[in-house]
Amino acid sequence: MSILGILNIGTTALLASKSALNTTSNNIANASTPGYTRQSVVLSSLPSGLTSNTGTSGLGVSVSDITRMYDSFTSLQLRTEKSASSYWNAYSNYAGSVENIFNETSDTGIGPAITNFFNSWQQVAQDPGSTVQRTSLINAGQYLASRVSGAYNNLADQQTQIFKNSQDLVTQVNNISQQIYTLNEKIVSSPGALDLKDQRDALVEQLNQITRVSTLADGRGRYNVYLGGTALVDATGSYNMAVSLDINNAMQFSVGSTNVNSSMSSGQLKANLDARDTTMAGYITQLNTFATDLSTAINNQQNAGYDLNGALGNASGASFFTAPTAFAARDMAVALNDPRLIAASGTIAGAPGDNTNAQAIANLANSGIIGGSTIIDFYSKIVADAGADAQSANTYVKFQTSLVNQLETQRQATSGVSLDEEAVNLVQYQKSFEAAAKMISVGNDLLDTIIGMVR
Amino acid sequence: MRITTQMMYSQFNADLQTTMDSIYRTDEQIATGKKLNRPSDDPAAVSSITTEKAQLGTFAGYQDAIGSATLLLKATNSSLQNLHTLITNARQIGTNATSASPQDLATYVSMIDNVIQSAMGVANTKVGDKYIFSGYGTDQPAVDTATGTLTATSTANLISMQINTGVSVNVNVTAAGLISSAAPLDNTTVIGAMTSLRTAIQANDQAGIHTALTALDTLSASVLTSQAEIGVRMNRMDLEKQYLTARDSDVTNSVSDKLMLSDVEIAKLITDAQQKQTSLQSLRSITSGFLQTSLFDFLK
Repeated sequence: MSILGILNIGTTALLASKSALNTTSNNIANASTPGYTRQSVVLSSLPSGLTSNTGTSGLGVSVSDITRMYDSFTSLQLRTEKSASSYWNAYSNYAGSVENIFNETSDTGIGPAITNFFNSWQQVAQDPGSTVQRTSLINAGQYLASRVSGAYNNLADQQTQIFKNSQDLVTQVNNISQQIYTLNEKIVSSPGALDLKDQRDALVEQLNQITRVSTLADGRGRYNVYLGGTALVDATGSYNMAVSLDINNAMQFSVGSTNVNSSMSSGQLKANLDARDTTMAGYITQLNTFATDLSTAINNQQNAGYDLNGALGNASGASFFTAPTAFAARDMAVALNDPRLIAASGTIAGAPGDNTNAQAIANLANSGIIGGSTIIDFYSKIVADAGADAQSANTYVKFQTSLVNQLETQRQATSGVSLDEEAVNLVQYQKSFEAAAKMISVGNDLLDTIIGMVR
Repeated sequence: MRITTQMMYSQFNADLQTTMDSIYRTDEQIATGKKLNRPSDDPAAVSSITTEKAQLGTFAGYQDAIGSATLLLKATNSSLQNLHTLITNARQIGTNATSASPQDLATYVSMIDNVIQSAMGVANTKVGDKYIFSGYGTDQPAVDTATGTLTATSTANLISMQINTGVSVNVNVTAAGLISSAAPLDNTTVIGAMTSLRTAIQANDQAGIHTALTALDTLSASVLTSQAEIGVRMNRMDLEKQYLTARDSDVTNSVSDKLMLSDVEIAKLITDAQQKQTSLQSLRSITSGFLQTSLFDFLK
């Protein structure tokens, strides 16, 4: 081994330490970068290459690889669970705003409006000739109608918002697919680009939060991304997703010409789809049933009675409520303006003392006018459903959050950066660097000594 | 397990969130005094609260009806009481007239005229703006004060009010059939019998006076029977009222048990809140202490 060999070994050591310091500083720099995977240098000694029976020392050190400390199993699980987590987070928000519409823990719910309406009929029955009671009944009817249509409008507004939000998310999906495709191609041409792989994994995770996708790596390190069986990204490019409303006001998601509604299993978009077109659409249907059956029952009885003028309840052309439309809840309103037209009397000449028809209408509160249920029972079932829905969504959110936290911890245990650990590494490699420099300086001295011998 | 920097940050974040969330919920409960603030806090309970509140509303409606009905029945009762007194007076006048000298008969006629006027007044009793003896024609007097016969709008219909689910009471007595009738008047009604008494006294027709007095006897009994009936109805209403009051307080308690915090629960919540505050404080102090330093701080 020559003295120049010492210089060479020193150089390999210097380079290796520098590379290790680079990696350490990159780790420190990215300690807070989401999705960053800790990198680590793999050092190996350079063998001497000599054939010898006696021990020979090697030629120094080399950086044989820089690796990502990546746990693909945990990462896959994490993606899946984050997707579910973002589904439940989004869904529980929607369920929370739905239950607020039907919040009967306060005194301002729809329930008191129903009771007040029927009590007003009861009061008209107590004093059928009084215009005061009749006017207050019309007010009570208007209030009830406005609460029902208010609930409808609230739900319809949220549906509109959710559709807009879905459009934004679809645009994000398309951007992400495009970026994944671009990264794929860069990674294929430069397989060692660790940070690009991190970026791509982060994008896949982001995509999963919007909508659950499956990712298959091909032989060249490309990610093919599928939504159900439909490709979003493959070797040839990325494919745009789109969302539109069909004639039933339901969202339809597609990739190219393929409808992917049934392929969506989790993520925010699926939450949007479920909340908007199942949950909210369901409550809207129930509100319509409520408004239709209530209006019909009241109107039928109103039409059978006689008003203060001795005319039939619908003689003026209008009944108590406006005739139910296809959007009965939205359009619910009191049709009568003149309190004299309320049909309190059951007999043609009964006015003003005959209260039998007003009493009959007041009694509708206790009969099964909505699919066999009383109006308040029907309504309290809506309240219970909305509450149970929000409650189970909240439970899922808690469960999913803790699951994701556990997995995140597990991933961090492998892939995360510990600043203390990096500080130790920093000292270690710094000392190695100093020692290597010292070694070169010693080699230099040795050379000086030799050269001095011949002077 | 390797513990990394981000792990610590996110763990502290999650812990802070959890603690803050539970403090928020406790604060909300204390501030509103309610255990349940949204349906999802307990869907089944909130659903039954909805039904029970509707029940309470219905009870209030029935209590209201009982109030109106009681007012009408009381007025009817005291009117019938007056009518009974008037019948007694008429009988007294009739009896005296049988033994009176012919020159005094005119006085008796004018006395009976007064009684007839008063009886018409009773028939046209108003409560608020309603004529209570007019049947369905509550906006018009029951009896035409010129003729003593029923007005065209006066009917024999009974008005019933619902005072509880499935329980109705009649809240009126009609002038028709008892106090007066359509023309011609006869001895079957109070004013009819009084009018024939007047005619008989004027004509000094002893047999006629006798017939009218017998008719008034029968009518006096009828008025008493009507009064007794009203007594029964008022009694019924008292019972329903007691029942409704009891039910009201049961249901109110049931709603309040489900919805509102009891004193004990409030005390417990306050203790909880204090504990949570303490744990939040310590969490914060540990977090700030721990996260501010790393090994780098100790390297030269």
